[in-house]
Amino acid sequence: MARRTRLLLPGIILLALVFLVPQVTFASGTGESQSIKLGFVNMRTGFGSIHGLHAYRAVKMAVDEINASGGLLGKEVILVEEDSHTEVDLALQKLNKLIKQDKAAATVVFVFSNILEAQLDIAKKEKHLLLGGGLNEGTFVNHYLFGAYAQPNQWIYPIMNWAAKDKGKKAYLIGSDYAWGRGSLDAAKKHLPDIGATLAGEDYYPLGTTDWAPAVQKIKDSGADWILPMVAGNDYVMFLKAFFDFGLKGKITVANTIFNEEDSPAFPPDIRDGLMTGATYFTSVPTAENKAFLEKLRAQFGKDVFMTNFGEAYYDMVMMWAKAVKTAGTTQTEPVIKALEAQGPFLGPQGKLTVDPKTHAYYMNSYLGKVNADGSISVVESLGESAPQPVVSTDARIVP
Amino acid sequence: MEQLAVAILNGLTLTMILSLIALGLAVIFGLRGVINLAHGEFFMLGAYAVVISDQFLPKYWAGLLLAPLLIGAVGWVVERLVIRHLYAKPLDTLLATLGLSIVIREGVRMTGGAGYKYTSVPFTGNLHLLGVDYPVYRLFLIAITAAAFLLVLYFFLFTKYGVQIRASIANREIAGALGINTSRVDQIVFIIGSALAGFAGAIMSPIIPLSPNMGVDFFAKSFLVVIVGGVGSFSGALAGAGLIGGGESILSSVIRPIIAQAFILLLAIVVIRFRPYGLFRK
Amino acid sequence: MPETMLTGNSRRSPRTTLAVSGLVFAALCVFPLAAGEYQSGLLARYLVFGLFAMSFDLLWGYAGIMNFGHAAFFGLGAYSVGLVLKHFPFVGASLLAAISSAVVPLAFALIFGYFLFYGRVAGVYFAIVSMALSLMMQTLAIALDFTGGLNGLRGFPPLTLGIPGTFALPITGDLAPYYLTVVVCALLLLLSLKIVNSSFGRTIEAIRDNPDRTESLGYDIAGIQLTIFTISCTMAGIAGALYVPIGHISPEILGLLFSTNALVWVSIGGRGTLVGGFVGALVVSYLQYFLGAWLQNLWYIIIGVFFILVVLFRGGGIMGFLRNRTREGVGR
Repeated sequence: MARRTRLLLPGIILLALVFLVPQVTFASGTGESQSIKLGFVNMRTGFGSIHGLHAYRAVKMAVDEINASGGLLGKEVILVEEDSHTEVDLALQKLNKLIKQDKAAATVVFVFSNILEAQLDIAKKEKHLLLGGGLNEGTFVNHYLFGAYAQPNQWIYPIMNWAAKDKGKKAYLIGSDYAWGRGSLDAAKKHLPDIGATLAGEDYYPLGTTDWAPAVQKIKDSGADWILPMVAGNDYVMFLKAFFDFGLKGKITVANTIFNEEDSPAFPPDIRDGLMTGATYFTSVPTAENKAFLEKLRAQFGKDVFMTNFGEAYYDMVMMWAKAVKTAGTTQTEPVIKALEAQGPFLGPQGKLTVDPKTHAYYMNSYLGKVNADGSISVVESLGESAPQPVVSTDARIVP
Repeated sequence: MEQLAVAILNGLTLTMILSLIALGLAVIFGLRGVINLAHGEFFMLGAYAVVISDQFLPKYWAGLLLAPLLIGAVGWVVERLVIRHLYAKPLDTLLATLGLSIVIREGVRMTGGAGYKYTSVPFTGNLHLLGVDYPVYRLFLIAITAAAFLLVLYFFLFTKYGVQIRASIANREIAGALGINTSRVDQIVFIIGSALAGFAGAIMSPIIPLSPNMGVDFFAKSFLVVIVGGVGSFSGALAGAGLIGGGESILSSVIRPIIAQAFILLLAIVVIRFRPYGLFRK
Repeated sequence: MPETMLTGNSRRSPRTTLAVSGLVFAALCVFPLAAGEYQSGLLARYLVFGLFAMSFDLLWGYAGIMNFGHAAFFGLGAYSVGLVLKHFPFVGASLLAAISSAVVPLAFALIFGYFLFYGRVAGVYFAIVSMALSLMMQTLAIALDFTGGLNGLRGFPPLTLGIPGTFALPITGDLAPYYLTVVVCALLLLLSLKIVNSSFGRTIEAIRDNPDRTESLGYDIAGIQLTIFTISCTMAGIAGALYVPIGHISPEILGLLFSTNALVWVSIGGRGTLVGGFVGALVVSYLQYFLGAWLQNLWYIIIGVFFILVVLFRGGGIMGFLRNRTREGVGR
């Protein structure tokens, strides 16, 4: 019996698709030059989603503020946000879309280190400016990247100094098993001799580890005085929960660096009361700029809203980019890069930020914060600004 | 010595949870040869049930009681609407329940939000056991899952419906010929299986992060347990859970946890090849 | 059952089919001129998905084998290409990479298939084992350093077509991968059509429909299953290789989710039609592209519900629907 797999009808479908698609997409592709698009690859869902909301709010506020004061070069700035689901492939797809389809002038990237690496490949190829912020392990020095990223000496060392001074000399380092976790702890290890501390133990766990009991047991057995956890995303909360479940509060100190009000609800008041953490920004930072910033934030998003260091850095970076665009008189990548490199200090909610033209990183401010029983974080010490000291290496993945 | 004790207790925690979930899967599979790929989502729903009930009712305990009831009900609806039509076609059930798992996961993501949720342990503190300090809640977890397991075992061994179910698993046709309402048996088994998954989710909710995807990993492991331990068998579910859960826990303390995971998967593949009905099929 | 869709209406002349195929092929060649680079990159990606789906259909629609680990072979193809290009940065590496993108999945398929088919693991059990395979490969890709871990594989020179000494065409940008993909997809589709329309193809379907009877007729069931399994997985590997210049090599493409995507695409496009894989992948992907931002999570729910309905009502997907509409005199 003759068998025929017919191609006529599918052919017609394919034909139709092939010619319909460009019509639809072209329709949205013309008449764009009345606005400037700012791309944004964010982590709104998935593993990194705990931060995405604040980054969004910060970027949105910056864009709204820019538009409220007349826009950029006479044009409105439109924010085009995409969700990467904290997945590499999707993040790259979205970046490509923002560059090639939306013709974004620059793109804000709020992604994990492993994703940023791959995105920088694209940025280099397309000669596209990426804007970042928050913190990183000090290995991102790239012509096409400007980021209000705290370098290890700005966000890790302060809390380490405090712990070594107050709590003892034996430190246990525990981190997520990928570039950021390893890189950050690597930088931390270099600092231990400077504060007279010794390494009681070091451990890495894959992202998505659900059972942290073995990790906690190892810490207990090590005899450490304090721990420095570089555990990413939601794993961080799970690790801390297990740590406290085993009754270690008060026995071993936790030197936090990424704890913020987003994490507080996961812990009962008596546990979270008194936790110390170090960052470049807290909602309670006592500057005039921050007061104004919080007023606008709460007016726009609700009166109980808080902001984290991850979000605030993005606000600063977008504002600095806007300033550079105005100075350069264009959104073209190279002139804007030059303008950013030559820019003077910017006064953000955290304090003064000044660019280091050689590394495209910034002089940033460090604060020590204490978590209160109600979940808020109060600044207990303002350490002022420090120069960025990246740990430059060509391959950001540091293998022990 | 202390390390071994902790490793054993950690392994036991995982084992008990896996055996509860696996038991639900195993009896359904044993009865009708049907695999419910949405079983992990029932686990997830059980955990979320605690979060929701925490808002209106006494924290944790109300949720713990409600979860199996609610999820059992969900299971019943699923059985009546979807599974019932597909008993004769196991591959189709696989597919339909796959679609169901997607619908449930994304439905929760849409309504509950994509971010992670947390509940808290109902009591903190450690107990000194076997020479180590171990969190009381985890010990409670081991105890209560063991109790649940025994309860279900009692049901299957000593109650009227339990006997009917075991008869149907042994030989469906003859059971039907003996006057057993096999359709009702199907429903009861599915309800129990789903309720067990929901209960497991509720018990785990204080110590793991809640997200729409949380059921996927547990389901995968439980699935392996059923495969390795044997289909439709109690001791199989327990033994399989011990092997898979305990094995991974103990391996993880000597080699990288992620390599331990890969190794367990390889083991499962080998077992299926040589003993498709499981190591302990009676 | 799928075979009702395959007993075609012989009123369709081969010349019409050839003409229309030619037209479609021509349209695909002209597409970049009409739509631009970005859209071409997108279509190339979706065509790769279509090829992946088609190879899945070869296995599921025709041989009745449910392979949840299909993505593992796609990933093997992609990783092979990346690893060869990364570690052999000399002339001729691309050829080696292309060959390994077929050979590596082929070897794995042979070993894995031999282990299972000759062990009489079939049906639901095969589905389960293949699930475990997918998970294991994904876990290993994340765990091992040389595969790049969670970051994936990057930092290798592009695939380059050419003859050393005369010309070299790097497959970069959007257009080169697009045309390469179109050509390879067309070739593999034709090859697959030839396979299923041959006597070998009929034997495969016989095994799917009634393995016992076919075996009693003297056919080596395991051997035939192994053959089609290997062919299908090799094609999946080639699709993976095509994906390298278009997407990013990461553990995600080895995983269960990607395999289930193929399942969804084939179900929606039409199981047992080969072309259905392409249709399903293109339709679903473009729908997601246009509606995704607006519908977001609702999109996945719609797909899930659709999927359940297709299973419950034994729909033949898009292709099945179209076939029935144009059928003459053959009762449904």
